[in-house]
Amino acid sequence: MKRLLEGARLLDPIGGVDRVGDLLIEHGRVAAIDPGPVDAQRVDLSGHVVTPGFFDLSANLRDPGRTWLEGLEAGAAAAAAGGFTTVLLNPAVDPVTDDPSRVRELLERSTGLPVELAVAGAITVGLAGRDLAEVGRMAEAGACAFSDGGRVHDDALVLRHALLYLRPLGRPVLVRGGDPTLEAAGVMHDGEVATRIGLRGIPVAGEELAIARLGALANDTGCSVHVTGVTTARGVAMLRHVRAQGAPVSASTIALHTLLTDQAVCDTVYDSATRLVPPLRSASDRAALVAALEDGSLCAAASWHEPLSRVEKELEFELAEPGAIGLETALSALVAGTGRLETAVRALTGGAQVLRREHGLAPGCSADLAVLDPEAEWTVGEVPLASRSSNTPLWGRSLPVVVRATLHRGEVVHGAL
Amino acid sequence: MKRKDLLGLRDVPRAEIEHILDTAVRFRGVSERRIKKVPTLRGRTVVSLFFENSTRTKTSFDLAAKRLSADGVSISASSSAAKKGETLMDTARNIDAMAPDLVILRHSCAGSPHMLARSFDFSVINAGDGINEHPSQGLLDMLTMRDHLQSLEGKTVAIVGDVFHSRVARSNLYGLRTMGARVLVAGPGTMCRPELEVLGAEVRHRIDDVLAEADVVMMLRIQRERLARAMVSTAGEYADLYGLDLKKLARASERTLVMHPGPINRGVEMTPDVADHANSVILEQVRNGVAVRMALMYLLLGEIDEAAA
Repeated sequence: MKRLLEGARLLDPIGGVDRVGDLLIEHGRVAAIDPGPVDAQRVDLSGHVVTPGFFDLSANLRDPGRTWLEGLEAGAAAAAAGGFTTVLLNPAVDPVTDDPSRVRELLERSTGLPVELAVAGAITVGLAGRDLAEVGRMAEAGACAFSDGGRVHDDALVLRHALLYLRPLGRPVLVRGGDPTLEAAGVMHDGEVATRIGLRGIPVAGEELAIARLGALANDTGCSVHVTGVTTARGVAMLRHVRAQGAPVSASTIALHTLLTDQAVCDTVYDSATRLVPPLRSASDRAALVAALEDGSLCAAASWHEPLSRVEKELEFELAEPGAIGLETALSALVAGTGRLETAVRALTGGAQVLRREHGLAPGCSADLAVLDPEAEWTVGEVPLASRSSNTPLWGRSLPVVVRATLHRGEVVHGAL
Repeated sequence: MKRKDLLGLRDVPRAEIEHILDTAVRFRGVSERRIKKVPTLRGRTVVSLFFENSTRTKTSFDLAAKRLSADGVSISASSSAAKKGETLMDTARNIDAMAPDLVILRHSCAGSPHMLARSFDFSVINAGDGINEHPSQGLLDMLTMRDHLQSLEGKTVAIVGDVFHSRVARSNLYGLRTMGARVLVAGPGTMCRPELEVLGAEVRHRIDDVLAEADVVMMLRIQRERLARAMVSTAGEYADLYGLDLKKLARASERTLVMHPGPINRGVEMTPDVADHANSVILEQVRNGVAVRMALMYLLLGEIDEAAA
């Protein structure tokens, strides 16, 4: 079946497309832009924006393990509702994705879901930062990247060996930039707000140190590293510095952190929904993240989707498990945070390059698309979310841009055309 | 007083602090009589919920409730359900089902009294939440200072020790700045960081840097566990640089008040002769504590009823 999406603004910042035009879909792929007279089902999308489907670099769907918090099915539906068509699964599930049989099982269970769930294998057994997992076998089983999820380690020798071992496998390596000892001592961003409201802080120095170390080890081993969860101005500056030294390092941030700051912890009076790792940072950090997404220093923003329930969250701020859901709010948070739809779309499609995938609006690409209404607003939680969890500091907040439809391989998997 | 809860002094305006201190002065007389009881809160229920060890503060709140004729129950962590894995919210739901009027909470996590205050109808007094605030301590400290200095406006108070991790210091800083006092802080670099300026403090280093200017010097308790992970070197070095002894006290004005929220580590943050010095008002602080807590209970519970009647 041929389908012609007519009159939409076609926006693919990475592919260099931004114009009003018609997009022809055939056999699940983009067939042409402005094909001229053609026999196809026509869909009038004037006033809408069509972008490549979003590409997430870190979502934890709690599957296997705590499936009542999400699960692959609900997680895939939440992803589709947020405009995502590919999601890289965080290996920090229970049991950890650190074994080829678990990679295979996840891939098998993902077939037929509305979006592609790509599997990241753990770098170290149990994410413990000590013994190398069977990354070679996991690569053969279909793991498309390697990562210890949000976990950070301080053993430089293990990290160096891991990078040397991973390099010939040719899969992207994602490591979060954080220091475990500094993070263990605090519960929010270390700064004025923490001082005022009496919470112990996580200093920005941890991220800066980690990026310096990763840069040095990437240079030393020749293994490319993608740093995830960059949230500070100093982290961004260190990133530019290590790249200037020739280190093969790219990096991404988190959608929510481009909108909210540590002030949210104070404004919500210690609401555990604002307890995150990495923590919400200062206003100047937030501004630096926005600038870095605009100038390309940060190539992507992840949803950092971490579903949790009242069991983990209805606790004292310091005792609550950190994390927030993000798949359904990532786009709106980025648009509200950066103030520019183009920046938001670039941040949400940049993950494809990290995973070295062909992706975009160019003819031949898979018709993974998001159809956006740029003028509409929505209120988080007003309509039930597709996610099984509701832990987000954006609950009840009015946000810009609505995902009208998501197409995966040419099929509508969310909303309607 | 219009507020339902007292969670900290950060947002309490000057007139309200003055009103609380004036009310405390009126209640001070009750503790000086032979029959130390007034019927003010008869029939009201006060539950004190202490998830951290406390002798002074718990006794002070309990006596305050009794002297106002409130029905009081004290629950401490060892006898509570916390050990069985019950969450704070569930403990509070159970207490709420028994219709208390006021819950006094001491907890190791900042923001825990705020969580109860927004979730339940009963009033909440924060009796210390993590390193955040301990507002009744701040108030009793200010009452003690006011007794000796008349007004706090323009006076200089030095707080020495682990200011960053001290809820007593934080409440004093908020309250004292609101009342127009100047606050100098001194202590090891790990405990007295320049960030404290956002609280209105002037950050110095050694105790010698603050003594000469101080109308009041408040010594904070140094916790032994803080010796871990390089926060401070040794108790001996701490006493040398940041502790108060008679020789150092001689550099202050002869009227400088010496305060301490207790319990004192004699020989660490202050020598025994300083604790027992004529300028030491440490036991006055404790005495004022009961009066301030009576005033808070009355203002949060009693006054509303009188207006309604």
